[in-house]
Amino acid sequence: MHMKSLYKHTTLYTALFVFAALCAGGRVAHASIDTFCSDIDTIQATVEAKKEAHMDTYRALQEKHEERFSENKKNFIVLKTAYQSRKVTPAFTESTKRGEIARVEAMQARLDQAQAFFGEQRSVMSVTLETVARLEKEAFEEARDACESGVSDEEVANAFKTDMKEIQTLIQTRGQEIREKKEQAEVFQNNSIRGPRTGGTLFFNSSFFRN
Amino acid sequence: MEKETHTTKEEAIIAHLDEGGALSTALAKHGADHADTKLYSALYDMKNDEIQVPPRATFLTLLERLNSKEPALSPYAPTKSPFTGLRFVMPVMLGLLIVVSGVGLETGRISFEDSAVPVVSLRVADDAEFSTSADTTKVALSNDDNTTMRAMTTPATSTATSDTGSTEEYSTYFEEESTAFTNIADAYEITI
Repeated sequence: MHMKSLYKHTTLYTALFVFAALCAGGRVAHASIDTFCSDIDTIQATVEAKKEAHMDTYRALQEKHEERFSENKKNFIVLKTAYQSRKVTPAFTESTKRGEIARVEAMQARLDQAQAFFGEQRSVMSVTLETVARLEKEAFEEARDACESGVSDEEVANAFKTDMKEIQTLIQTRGQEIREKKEQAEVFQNNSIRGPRTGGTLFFNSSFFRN
Repeated sequence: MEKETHTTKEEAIIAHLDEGGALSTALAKHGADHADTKLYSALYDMKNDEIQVPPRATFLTLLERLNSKEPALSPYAPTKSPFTGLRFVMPVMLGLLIVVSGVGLETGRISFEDSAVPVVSLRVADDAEFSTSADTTKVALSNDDNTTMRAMTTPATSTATSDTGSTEEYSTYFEEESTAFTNIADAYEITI
């Protein structure tokens, strides 16, 4: 009961925080240039909140995909063992058995390739995000220093906007590069390695299993 | 055959005795000693004893056969082997054996492991008694045995359930992740 109450409160505070962040974002969006130096903390909080929201989505996807990779890996091992230990009968001939085992091995290989590729690209993304965090920190520090040293709001704001644009460009460029690499990656070109079309695969190709 | 060889030898000896006589006459004409003449004759006889000379008729037959289509492997070999028919039967039998073995292995009717478990056992009821094809003695199976054998031999319908992941679209995974990554840039979209 206590936990339930705590959960309710947490949800409420989170909703309030998000609302406040959105309001602050709106305020930033319409803030006049004269108030940039005074609003710099709010701007930083807004940027951080928005960034965290996107980062949460990104991390959640990574976790979800890793779980799927792990599940599929186990599944393939079980499937291969099942086929290997299955007795040959006129209904399940030696060729069928070999074919099924080869199909599972192809799926395993594809999964391993995909996982390796994901690992490489994730490390690229991770490095980029570290760079972004550093650039962001530097941008805010420089803006604050400029405000304190008496540089005009307009000038500081413009320099800050340029820094933010650079960070955006960096992320977008890196994202584009990753997508291009993906287009060239062999693992995504070999999506046809699925073995023979059977009733089972057709069934599992249905929208229900493909989310 | 033996008689023929004997005759051949006799003929050869007579022929060489004649030659020996001719030689001794020739030697006498040139002043040679009678002992020398006898020595030459003895030498020729020894040579003829060692070498089996086929009769002239056999050589002629062989010569005729060289031009014919019949193989002249040996004058004593039979012209047609009673096993000639096997040249055609053996490859056919071998091929048939390979095909039958292949089909048997392919369909599991021939196996190198658990060969004592006949496929026909699938169709017997629980607790049934049956005889294997190899052994006519009755074998009683328990429920567990039958269940195990069914599990091993019945086409597994459950494989479909564990087939998930075969059509997993890793491309979609990557699209989602790269989009989420690029969306982080939106956090830095600031209008001042």
